[in-house]
Amino acid sequence: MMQQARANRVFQFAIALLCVSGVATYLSFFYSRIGERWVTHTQEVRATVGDLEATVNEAGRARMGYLMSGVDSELGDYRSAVSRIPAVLLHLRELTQDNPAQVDNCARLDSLTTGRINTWQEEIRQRQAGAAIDYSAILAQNVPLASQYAAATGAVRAEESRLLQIRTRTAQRRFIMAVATVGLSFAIGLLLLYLYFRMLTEELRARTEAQEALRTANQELGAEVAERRAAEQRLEKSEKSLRELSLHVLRSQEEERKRIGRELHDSLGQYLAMLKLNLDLLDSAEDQHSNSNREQIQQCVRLAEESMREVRTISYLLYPPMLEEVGLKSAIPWYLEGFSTRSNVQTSFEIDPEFGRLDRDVELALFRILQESLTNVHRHSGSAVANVRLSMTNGCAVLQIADRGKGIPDKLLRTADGHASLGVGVRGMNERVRQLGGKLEITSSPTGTAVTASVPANGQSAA
Amino acid sequence: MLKRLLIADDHEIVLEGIRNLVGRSGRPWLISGEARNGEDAVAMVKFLKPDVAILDITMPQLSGLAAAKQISECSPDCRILIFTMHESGRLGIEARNAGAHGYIVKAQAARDLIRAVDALLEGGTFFGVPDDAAPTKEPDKKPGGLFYVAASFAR
Repeated sequence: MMQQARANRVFQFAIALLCVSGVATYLSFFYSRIGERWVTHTQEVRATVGDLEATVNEAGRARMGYLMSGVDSELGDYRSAVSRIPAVLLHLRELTQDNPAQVDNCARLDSLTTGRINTWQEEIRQRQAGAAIDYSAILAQNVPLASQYAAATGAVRAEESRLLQIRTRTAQRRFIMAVATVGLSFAIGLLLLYLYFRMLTEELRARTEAQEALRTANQELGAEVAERRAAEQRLEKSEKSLRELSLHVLRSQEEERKRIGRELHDSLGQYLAMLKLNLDLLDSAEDQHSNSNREQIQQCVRLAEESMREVRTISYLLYPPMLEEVGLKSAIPWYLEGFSTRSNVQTSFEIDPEFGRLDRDVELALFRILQESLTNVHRHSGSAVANVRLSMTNGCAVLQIADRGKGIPDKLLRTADGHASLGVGVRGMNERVRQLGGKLEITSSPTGTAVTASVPANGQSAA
Repeated sequence: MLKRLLIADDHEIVLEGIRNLVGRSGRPWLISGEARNGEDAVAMVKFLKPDVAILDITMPQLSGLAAAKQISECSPDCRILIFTMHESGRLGIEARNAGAHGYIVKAQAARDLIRAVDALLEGGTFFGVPDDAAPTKEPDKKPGGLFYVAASFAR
């Protein structure tokens, strides 16, 4: 946000300059007023000096009048004029007390005034005493005094003018500087404000642009998300149909096995049974055969028996009839016995004594899982034993098949959708269990594997 | 005295086999009827009143066990022998519960059928164990011909 900081700084400067110009404006007024005041002051001094001169002149004229006429009213005028002089002198002194030159001038004026008045006083006393007036002597005395006096007042005036000039010049200078400051700071302040304005609009434009870009990007993202979601839905749908398909396949497989098993057993099996029957009858007809014939017949009987056993085994493997009739409790041990014989793997079976019947689908699914797991034990694990355990936990039927073989390699076990690469058989087990609302767990280590299937047993019935 | 047998099985080959066995046995037995399903078996028993009914278990319409139950209720004089492919102790118990008096497997037909019928005709029972040959009665062998009448209800 460098831009932001800079803009702020510019704005602050602008405001500062505007404040400065405000102050300068005030100062300019101030200085111009000072200038005025000095002028007024000078005028007043001049006026006071004028006043003094006028009063002194008045006193002089009044004394001359008295001297010439001896009339008392002239004396009265003289006296009143003289009485006014000190006040004026005082006033003048007050006005000029701040300037040393003027103070000197005033002091001189003061003494001169006193000198003149004393002279006049003497003259008047003489007149009053009745002496003759020597006008030329008076003139000779007073004229120099008068010119001295005029010089003194002139000095005061001159000094005052000089001071005024200086002061007004200073004031003017200051005034000009103030005005210049006002102008400059105001102008710069305006410039800075303008700059600030430009920076703001630039920033705003940039922001708007960025927002637009963001909005566009958002839209594109939204579109992409929608597309992805649609793709996900399609994927879900196809996963679902895949699952349904595999369930369907499983079910068809099951149906087929059942059919084939039954056919084998009921049809072929019966034929073999009856074949055996005939051979038995043939065998028991003692009188008719030679020894070699009898041996052959007995061999036929054995072959028939073998065939029957094979048919029974195959059909029961395909579809155990007794599963429906007697349930897992009896079907599993029966199957394990056959398996042990066929595969040379020792088996053990543990079951909760109160374990009862379950739904047909559940029992069949568990039975198939048992078959598949034991096939894997036989084919892949190299284990010499397999332990089967069936129990009921929290309303779930739990079937566990554990072996002590070499285990399933880790990378086969840990796949994304669980067990996919372990083969169709495991996937089938998984699907069955899932369809019934249960779950399948396979744990494996180099010392053994355990397959655990748990299925909720809501339709459980007592054994 | 001529004894009447009824046989019920949905496979012709089995019926033929039983006929064969009975004929060769030399017993004075008459196969008075052959049924192809459980319902027919019950009806025939009611109608023909045989002494022994030999029933397969897996039959259409009505299973052998159900038929046995019905027969034992409405024709209690008839002795019932279950003759089946399946070897199962449990089934044997169920057969007994259904009212059957005997249970033998087809794999051992040659060995057990005649003996079982003999035993049942004498009022006893015959629940044969598949692989051992311990009968409960010793049959008498009589020479003779073979008579049978097949009365099958075609369906």
